[in-house]
Amino acid sequence: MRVSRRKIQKSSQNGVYACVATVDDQDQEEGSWDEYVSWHLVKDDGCGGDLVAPDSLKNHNREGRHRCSRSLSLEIEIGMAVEELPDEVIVEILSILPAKSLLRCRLVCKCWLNLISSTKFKLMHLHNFNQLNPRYFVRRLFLVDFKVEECYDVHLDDEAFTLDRSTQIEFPFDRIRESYCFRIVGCCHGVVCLYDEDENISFSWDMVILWNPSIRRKLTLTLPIFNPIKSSVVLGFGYDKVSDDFKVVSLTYDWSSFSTRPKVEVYIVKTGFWRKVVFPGDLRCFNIQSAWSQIFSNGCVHWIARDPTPGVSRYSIMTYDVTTELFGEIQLPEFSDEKHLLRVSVVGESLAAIYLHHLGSGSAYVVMVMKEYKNPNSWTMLYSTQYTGLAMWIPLRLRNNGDMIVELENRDMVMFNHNDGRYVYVFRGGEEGCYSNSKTCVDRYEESLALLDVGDSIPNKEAMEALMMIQNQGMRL
Amino acid sequence: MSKKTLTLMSKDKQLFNIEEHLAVQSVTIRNMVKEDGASSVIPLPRVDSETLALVIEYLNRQQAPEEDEDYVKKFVDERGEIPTLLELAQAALDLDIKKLMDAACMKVADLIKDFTLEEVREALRIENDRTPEEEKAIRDEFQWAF
Repeated sequence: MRVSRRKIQKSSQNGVYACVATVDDQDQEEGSWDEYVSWHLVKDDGCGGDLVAPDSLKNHNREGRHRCSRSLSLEIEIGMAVEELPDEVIVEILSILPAKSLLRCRLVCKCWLNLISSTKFKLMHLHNFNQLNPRYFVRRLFLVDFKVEECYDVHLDDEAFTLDRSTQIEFPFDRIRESYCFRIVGCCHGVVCLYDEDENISFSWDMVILWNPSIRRKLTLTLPIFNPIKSSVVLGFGYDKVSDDFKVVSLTYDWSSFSTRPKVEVYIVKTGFWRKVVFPGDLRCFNIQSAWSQIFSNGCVHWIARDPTPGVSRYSIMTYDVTTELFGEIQLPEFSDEKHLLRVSVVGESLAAIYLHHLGSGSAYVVMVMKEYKNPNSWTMLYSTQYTGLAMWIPLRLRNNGDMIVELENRDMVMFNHNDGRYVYVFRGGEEGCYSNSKTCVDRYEESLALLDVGDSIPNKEAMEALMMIQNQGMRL
Repeated sequence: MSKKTLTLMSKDKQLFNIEEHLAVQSVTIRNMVKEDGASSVIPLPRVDSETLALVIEYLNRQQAPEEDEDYVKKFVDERGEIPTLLELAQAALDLDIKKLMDAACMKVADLIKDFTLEEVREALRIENDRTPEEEKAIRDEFQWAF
């Protein structure tokens, strides 16, 4: 006799922590293979208790294995319902399906919906699918009929950074005012945080949007507590794995005094509210240099920050831990000669910094990687690359393999392959009519089911236009 | 000296011989061998004989390690029927043969990813346990995905 155990979903109601079905496979007559199932409750103190299986569970035939067996659903006397979940093989298969397919699969049966709705599965899918399909998106601006349009392309994380023509992202949002474009605050767990930024008009918080392009879902944030005029705002975006939630942190700086510490609020998606957070008084570098510099990694948002004390030139990486809501500082590597810090990025999961170094004959990028997170002694040079022929501009991002994506002054995009030391063109933005440089963004494109239960679905353009027409007709009447 | 051979028994009581050094690619079998030397027949009560024959064929492959990835892909490609692949994946899971399990799952995912709802149900033999009203409510919200 062989015994195998099948664990059924964990539940912590009424002190019951798990329900374990023990399946006794006994030798039977030829052709049939029955399972004898007995049920055990495992409590939080580790003690178990026997439970008699309902009649429907006895002699459950193996042939029904690929069906979502209803027998996995069990009402236990103390009033806890164990949710049905599919077989492990099915779970594995679903975890590597595209997000769009999963939207369909939620309808297959109730136990698939239970599975696909669970946090555990969502994280498993995020990991498994995107590990098999690593991709990046590139956001560029084009001028169409005197209007700036945002265009998102997906690129494969292969050696040539190939354009993925099979994945189309439709950008669904319109800016409220005459602002230039949406600022991409950051991107994590497949969700892009967008900010309708207006550099000319005093800040009034019209729009911060969380957007999951893979399932076309969005969440528009409510207004924060502070509504300051004459200030500048820096946002950070990250995922808190402890509370399984997204958070947006907002730092409001007073324009009139650079030495004043920012007022901080954090938006917690599940609560739908902004909450004030105390900014530490002892942090020396707190003037964020570029609002576009943030990167989320290792549970923290990172920005390049400067010490505002007059006459002091000191930079470091300011961190905001999304779980503990504490600010911190990561020291940058020290150099004997002057290097200008351009950007924080990541290589895989490691924090990285890209520097510009002026040499006699030209300039060089220096890429430093922090091998051990938050250990400043572990900063290591990954490579440095000189450039002479190309009119280099802003390094946008480092890829998982350390290759650097750079936008040139003429809006072409190149990729530096640090293994063979060559620059390869990704596309000729100048020829294609790309409108602006410096607003181009590259970030990881991950498919995920995030915002499925909190956001709103985004209707497609045709549906939206039809709705607008109806509304316009109504106004005329 | 001859190589040591193990005997595996399928759920329908068919016996299969396989050399031990090949069989221990399965972590489950490796652990059994470690524990009690697995001198006698190893019963695999959840694997039918057709699937076990496939698993044995896979374990017996003579591939150089660098060609292994391509081989396992080709191996599951040639058995493109979903029911066969599901049985194979289940057996690979039970026997803990990760590469085979991953390849079989990936092949099924690839086959069903563009299926309609009804095609998924049919391919995986799942009964619809929803009322049309419940189905419509979920479907309407994401009409573009259907």
